[in-house]
Amino acid sequence: MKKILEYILFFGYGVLLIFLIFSERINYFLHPSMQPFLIIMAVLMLAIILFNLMFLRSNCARKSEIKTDNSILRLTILSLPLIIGFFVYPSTLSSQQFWNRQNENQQNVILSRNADQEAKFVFNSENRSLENWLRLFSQSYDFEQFINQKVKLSGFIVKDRNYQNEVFYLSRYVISCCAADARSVGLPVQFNSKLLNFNLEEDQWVEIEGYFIENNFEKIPEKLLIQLEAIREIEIPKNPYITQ
Amino acid sequence: MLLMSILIGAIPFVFLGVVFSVVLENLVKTEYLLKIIPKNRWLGSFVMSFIGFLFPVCECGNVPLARRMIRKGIAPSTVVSFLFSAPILNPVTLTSTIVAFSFWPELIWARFLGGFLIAYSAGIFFSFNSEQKLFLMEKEAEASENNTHHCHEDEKLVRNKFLKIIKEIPKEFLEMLGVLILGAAIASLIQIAIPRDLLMNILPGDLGGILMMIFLALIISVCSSIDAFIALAYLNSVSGGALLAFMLFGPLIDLKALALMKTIFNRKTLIYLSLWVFSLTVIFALIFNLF
Repeated sequence: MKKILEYILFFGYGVLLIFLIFSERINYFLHPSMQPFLIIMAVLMLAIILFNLMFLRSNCARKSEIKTDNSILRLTILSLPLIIGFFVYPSTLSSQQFWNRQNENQQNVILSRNADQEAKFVFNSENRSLENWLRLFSQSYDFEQFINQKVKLSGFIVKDRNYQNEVFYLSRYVISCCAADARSVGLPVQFNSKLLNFNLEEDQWVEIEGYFIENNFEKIPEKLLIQLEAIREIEIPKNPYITQ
Repeated sequence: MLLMSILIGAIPFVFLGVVFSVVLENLVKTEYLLKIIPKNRWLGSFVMSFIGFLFPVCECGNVPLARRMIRKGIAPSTVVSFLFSAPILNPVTLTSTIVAFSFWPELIWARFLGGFLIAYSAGIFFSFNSEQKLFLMEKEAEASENNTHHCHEDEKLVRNKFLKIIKEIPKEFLEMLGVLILGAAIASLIQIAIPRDLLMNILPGDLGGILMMIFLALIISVCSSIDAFIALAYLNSVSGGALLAFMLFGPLIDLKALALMKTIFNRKTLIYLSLWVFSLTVIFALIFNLF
C-alpha cells in the first residue's frame, strides 16, 4: 500500500509537469529555458514508474533500506503542490509585490544582450517593447530626444503611491529563473481621470498608446512620462514576464 | 504561486541529485570511493572541495548525493566540503557568473576563491571532532553504521542493479521533496511579508549592505546557477562586497537548502554550519570592499 501511494505521488508529479507545460501554465512560474529540462525529467519520471510497475515483485530488497515515514501529514504535504498545480489557475505576481520588488535602478534589472541589440534596431518607436525602452533609457543621457515619440505598450497597472488619480505605472516583472526572483519594472503613464472613459484598476492588464513628455511630478523619479492617448483592457499574455 | 515557482524550479535539480545519488550507491563500490578520497583531513577536504566541479547541480541536487556519501562511509566533515563547494564550483555557476560579471573579473575570482575557502575550511573545522556521527540525524547515523549490505550474487547482475536504481529513485525523491516543500513555503511567506526595498534601507553602510544581501539570499532561495543575474540587479544599490556576500552565502545556506540539509544533519550542526558560512562570508565581503 505504501509503495502504491509513493508511485501515485511520483507519477502525479511527472504528469503535473507535462500538464503545466502543455497548458502553458508553466510560463507563470518559470523561465522558458527551463522547459526542456522539465520535459526530459517528466518523461524519465513516467518511465521509472512504468518500469517499477512492470517489475513490482523483484527480489532486490536492500537489507539496510531506511524506512520512510508515510504518515498522513507527510502525504498531505506531498499532495498539496499536486492539488495546487492541477486545480488552481496560477496568477502573476500582483501590484502589491510591485513596490516590494522594485529596484532603484530599473536599467540594472534588464540586462540581457538580446534586449540591448533589439532596442537599438527597432526604429519605429511604436514597435518598441517596455524592455526596449528601459534599455534605451539606461544608455541615454539626452532624454529630450524621446519626447513626443509615440509608444504602444502592454503591461499591468500599478497606481502611483503619491499621484493615484493622475499617474499609474505600466508594469511587468523580470525573471531570470522563476517567479521567486522576479523584479518589477515599469514606465509612468499620466492620465486625466476626468476625461478618461475607462475604469483603471490595479493589476488590470492593458494596452496603451501615447507619447513621451517631460516629467513634472516631483515625487516620480523618471525623467519622462507617457501621456496617455488610448487604453484598452487585454487578456493576461501567455508569457507575462520579461525574461532575462 | 511563489511556492510553486520555487518548487518547480528546484524539482529538476533535486531529481538530478537523487539520480546521481542512487547511481552512486548502486554502481560505485564503497571500497573504491574510500580509496580515492584521502583519509587525511587536509587532503580529504581539499579533494572533496573540487569534486563538486563534476556535478552541475545546485544545492538541491547535492544534498541527496552528500547523504549517500555519508552512508557509504565517507566522513561527514569531508562531505561538508563537497556540499559547500558543489553549488559554487560547478561549470554552470562558473559560466553564469562569468557572463553576468564579465566587466568585474575580481568579483568572479573572489566568488570562486571564497567559495572554495569556505567549503575547505568548513570540512577542516568539523573534522577535529572525532565523534562525527554526532553531527548527523539519528537515522543517518544508523544508516552509515548499517552499511554492511551483503551483496548477493544476483545483485551483481546489471539488470538487477538497474531494478534497484529505479526502485530507489521515487522513494528518495519524495523524501527530499517533502522537506523542499516546507522550505519553499517558508521562503515564500517571508518574501511576501518583507519588502525588499525595506531590507535595503534598514542598515546603512557597507556592513549593513552586506548583512541585508545575506538575508536576501537566505529568503530568495534560488539556485546558484542563476543567482549572479539577481545580484547584478543590485549593482548600483550595494557595494561589491555585498554582491559577493549574496553570491557566497545564498548557494550554501538558504531556507530551501536548510530544509534539505535537515535530512542529514541535526539542528545543532546546521546552526554551526550556518554560523561558519555567515562569519566567513562577512569577512570575505568586508575584505573585498577594502580592495
